[in-house]
Amino acid sequence: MADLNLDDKKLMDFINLMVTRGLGLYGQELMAKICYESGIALTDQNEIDWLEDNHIQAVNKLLVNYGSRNLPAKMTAIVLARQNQIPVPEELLTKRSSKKRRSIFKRFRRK
Amino acid sequence: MENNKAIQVNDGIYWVGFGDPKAGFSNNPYLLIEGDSVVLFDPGSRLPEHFNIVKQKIESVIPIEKINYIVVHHQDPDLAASIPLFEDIIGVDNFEIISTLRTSLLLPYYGFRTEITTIEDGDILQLDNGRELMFITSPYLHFAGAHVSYDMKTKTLFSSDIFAAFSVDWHLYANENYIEAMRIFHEPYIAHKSAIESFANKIKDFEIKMICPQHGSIIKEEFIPKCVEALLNFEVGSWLI
Repeated sequence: MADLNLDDKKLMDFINLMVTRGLGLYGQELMAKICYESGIALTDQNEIDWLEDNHIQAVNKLLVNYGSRNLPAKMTAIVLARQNQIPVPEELLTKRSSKKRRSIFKRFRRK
Repeated sequence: MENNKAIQVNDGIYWVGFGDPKAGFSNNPYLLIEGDSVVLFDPGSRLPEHFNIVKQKIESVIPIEKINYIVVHHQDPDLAASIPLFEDIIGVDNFEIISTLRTSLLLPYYGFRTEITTIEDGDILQLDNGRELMFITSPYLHFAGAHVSYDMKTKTLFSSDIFAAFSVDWHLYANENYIEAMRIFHEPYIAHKSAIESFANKIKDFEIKMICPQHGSIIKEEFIPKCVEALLNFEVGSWLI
């Protein structure tokens, strides 16, 4: 794997953590597909590498692709991101747009 | 106390609950009405002898069909099992069920078909006339996905199982015996003090004038500091013996 700067190392560690959980949640085949769709290679030996130059964007995509498939995955993605100070993509936090939903929300930001 | 009339406890807030001596606690669904916005908090049990009381009490102030939101603070059956019965009256998707993501995983097992709107910590629901309802997550009190609601107009905290109590000597408003009744509820039910401390830290800057728990009695402003202090000092996790 190419030399990593600190940010890349942090991102790689985070992806490894996601993949470790993801192997339990999705199995190897689907986890590899989720990684591929996010711009990350996952080998049969569960090693990872970048397929996309923009690594932050790849992690962002991984969080969305990983978290959009079911509720436990979404909760896992959000919790792991928060624990590791990785920004949670808005797609995972935005309320599902629906013709049925009429409620209007705003956010309270804690100091 | 009449068993078929809602009791107004604050501006637009009604207690529509009942005492359940068999269980040793009261069940306290609450109704909030602001213009055309009608919110029912934790609708309660689906047992006919319980559901019919809550239904009658709501109907004493507003038709059931006017309910826009059912807020579910966690998924226990004493709080949430009647959702499908309300859905039968209001109609699928003619109202919204509001809860956290984690709770929303379990709620559909009650068999309703209405969509759940999931909330995050700090989300504020806009009601009629500018009234606002804030949702605050309260993890592990007692469920990982639990939350509470805060009416910003009256500064009322709908605290779910936090500040709840076991007592057959039940009164609508907490009296001098309430701390011990709270202790009986919290010490075996809450696993760890850190969950209480985390929640207390979250709400420490909120002005709270009334606490409406899901079980037990409503706590008025003058008694709140004592109850908060007691909550912070309970020896929780008492079944870890």
